[in-house]
Amino acid sequence: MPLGYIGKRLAMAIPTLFGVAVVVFVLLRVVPGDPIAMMLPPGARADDIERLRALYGLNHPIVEQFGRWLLDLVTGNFGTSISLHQGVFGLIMSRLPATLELALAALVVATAAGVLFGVAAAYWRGRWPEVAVDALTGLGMAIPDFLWALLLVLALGVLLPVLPISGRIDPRTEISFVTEFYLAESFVRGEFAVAGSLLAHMVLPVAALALPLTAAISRILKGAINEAMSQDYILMARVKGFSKARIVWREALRNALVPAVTLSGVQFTFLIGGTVLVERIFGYPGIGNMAIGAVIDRDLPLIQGIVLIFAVLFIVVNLLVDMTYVAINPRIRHG
Amino acid sequence: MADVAQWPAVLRNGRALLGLFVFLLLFLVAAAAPLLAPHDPLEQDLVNSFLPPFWRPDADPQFLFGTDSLGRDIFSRLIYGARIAFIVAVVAASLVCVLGTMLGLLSGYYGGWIDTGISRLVDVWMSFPPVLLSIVLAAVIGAGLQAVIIAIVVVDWTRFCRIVRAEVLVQREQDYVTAALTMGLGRPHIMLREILPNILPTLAVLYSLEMGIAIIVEAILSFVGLSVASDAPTWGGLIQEGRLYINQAWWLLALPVGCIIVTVLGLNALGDGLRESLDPVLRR
Amino acid sequence: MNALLEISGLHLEIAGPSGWQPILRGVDLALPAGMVHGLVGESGAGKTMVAKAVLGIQPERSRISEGAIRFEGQDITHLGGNVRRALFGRGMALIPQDPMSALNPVVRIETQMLDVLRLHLDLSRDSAREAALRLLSDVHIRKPERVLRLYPHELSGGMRQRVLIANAFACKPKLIIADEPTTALDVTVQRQILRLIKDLQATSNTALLFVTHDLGVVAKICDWVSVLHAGRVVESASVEEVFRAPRHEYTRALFAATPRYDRPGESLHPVPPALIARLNDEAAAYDAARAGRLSDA
Repeated sequence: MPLGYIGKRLAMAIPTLFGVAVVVFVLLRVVPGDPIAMMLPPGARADDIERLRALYGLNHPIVEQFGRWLLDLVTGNFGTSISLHQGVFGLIMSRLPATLELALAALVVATAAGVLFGVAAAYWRGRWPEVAVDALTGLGMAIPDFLWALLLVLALGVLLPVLPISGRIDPRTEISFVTEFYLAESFVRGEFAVAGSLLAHMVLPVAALALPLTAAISRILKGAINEAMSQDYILMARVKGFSKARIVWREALRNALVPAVTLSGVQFTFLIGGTVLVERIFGYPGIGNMAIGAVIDRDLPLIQGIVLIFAVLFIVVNLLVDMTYVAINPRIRHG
Repeated sequence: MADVAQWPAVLRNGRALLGLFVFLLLFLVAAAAPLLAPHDPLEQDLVNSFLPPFWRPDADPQFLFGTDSLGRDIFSRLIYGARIAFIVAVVAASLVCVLGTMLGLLSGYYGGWIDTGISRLVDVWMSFPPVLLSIVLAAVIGAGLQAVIIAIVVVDWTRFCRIVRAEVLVQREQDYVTAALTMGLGRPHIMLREILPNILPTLAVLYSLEMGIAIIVEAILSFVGLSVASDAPTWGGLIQEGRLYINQAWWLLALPVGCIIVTVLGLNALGDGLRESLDPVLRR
Repeated sequence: MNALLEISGLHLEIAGPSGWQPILRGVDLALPAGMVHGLVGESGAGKTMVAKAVLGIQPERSRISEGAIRFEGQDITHLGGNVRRALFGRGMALIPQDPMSALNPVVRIETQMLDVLRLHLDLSRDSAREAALRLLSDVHIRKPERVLRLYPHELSGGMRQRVLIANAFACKPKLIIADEPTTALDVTVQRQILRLIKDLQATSNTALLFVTHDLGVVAKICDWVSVLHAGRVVESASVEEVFRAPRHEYTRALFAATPRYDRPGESLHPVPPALIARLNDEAAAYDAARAGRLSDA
């Protein structure tokens, strides 16, 4: 039964999460240089430093710190940011929606484009469209998202300035949002001008994020479709009198999606990591951008929180990919 | 010499040749940096800042690609950047290869709880977004070239480990392994002297790809300001500086980006070419 | 005389490492409407290739360099594209050899049957569904409503083959090609399937080209039989004649090599290598003669 399959994956995710928590905790206790001392002006007195250290709970034994930290995590207390002086959880939640909007948009674009290119390359196998798609996807996969971001900034932001290359929305816009999901909210509220500005600011970062994923999906799907096309049931479909277009789209593609989804799911997790640099390059106010700032400022609690959230996102995405795989593979669904 | 068909398959593969060419070019530039660079990459000359590159009418022939905000010669900085890129690529890739291969061999061949333990570790490790992890690590370890290399190794060893493990699982079932066992050869011997040589083609492919990855990670880290001392010219550092002046002198950003792209594409081509040419030979 | 299917002097070659290899050497065959014609031979004799050539699904690296295939008087030898597609369904259909791989694993049986019915018979969804249910009961599948909702891997081999047979007969084609349809099945199921095909053929009066290596099958179901070796038809006669008094040595050798349930205890004789060698020589002679003929032209 598929529920058992999902249940197993969930159960396996828990120890992975725990392992992640341990690694995060250990990693950031190994910091050379004293973050506390860095927070205070030079020449601070020793007992000031000690008081601050006690405030952050950094004076307890390591195991106790871990225990308290885990407890805090489970209750949603991620600590306070050293550099921004606000609750880490709140900070993350306020920036997460922006990143989620980018990531989801990139996923949608990459899937649509990837499927189109993949099907085209398989349909026109051996002819020039396949060669062209192969060349393009080769480029797309070899060049990482942050380099694409820089290229796009150069090409469409500076040399041919048609799109904005910084921020999430035109600063002159006068609107106050209720949620942090600006794009969704502006559509729901019918504020299409605002939505337009939001979308314009999303084009380049989404393109940078989506390009490598599009290339990967396209390659994977083309391979899977070609693999399916060599099967007997495709020959039968020809003998039944179906056109090539129909065979590729309806018979082969359905089979190709099964392996393609798993492989593409892995690629999508790279996209999540890619938001870190892409947001930085475009000055987009999401958690990726905040992560870099936190690292540069050596803001322990914030770094911890963000790395944890990223790991959780990873695991969630993997679970969703597994669930999708189960949904589209009848052999697992019906035992 | 005349009969190309006699050459080993690798040299007949177009992509591998291209990649090899890029690699050798990088090596030469890196090795001969002091001879090739017309100027001292660190020498500042504020009078001559923001000189344009050669394709502009107002360029100075002394500075082929122009100068940056502090009057430093871009061309020389790119060349010395290549040197750092090469060192990082080779050292990091080698370390990743050694560590990942060792763990992959152990995990695949010995199996049992060693395998379970290492595989779990790999799973947890791979839950972290690599970019974020490397940035955090570099921040933790501090600045400098060693930190960058350590960060690359710590983040990416799982790539080698997983693939090597899969290969070992396949090789383990082969006849030559059974033969070796029946001849009384010990497990470490089989692992290192029988199986390892058979997975060398895979390692060669991974190694070339890893070099490309190392260069990219170094660029990312110096872009974020976490690599070598801010003075020394790395391609990533040049990108970071170039971004600041993108409106006045866009070539400051474009040139180092171009260098990285060409190098990475070349190394990827090498990896692809090696995979194509070596695979059927050994799979027979 | 206008047979439904006429193959004359068919010469088919496959591209190999050392040039074009002949697979079919001047095959002649005539199949009148409503009759069952068996194509017998050992593996590699080319019988499946004849079937593929008729359907137009021969391998890409092959060519028909001589001869013709006529279906209902129309030359279909090199037919392709949409014109060829128009033949399928109501003109000709295929019962394949391997029922497992011939069904799309991720699509329900219902869809796989309805697609065919709606494409060729232009039925509405509901009428097509009714037709599918009728077809399934025609092939003796119990609880057809349940089977429609299933996926191929949830059916037994025999049931899958019945579905494929149902699909083949669905649009009442004039010609059905059966490519060793029982080979991949259990022995106990083979007889049922054979009987089923025979019954359906009789009721619908469809012409049937039956490819098999099993003379026993030929006896049960065919009216006429052609024996192939190395791409040549060595004997072609009615089943009665062939079984009563086979004329060609090879046919007789095949009989001698086939176990017969009505004469248990009879010793089997493998086909003598000398005979095979002679037949191969004849094939080579044919090739040489043909090459000579072509270069003279």
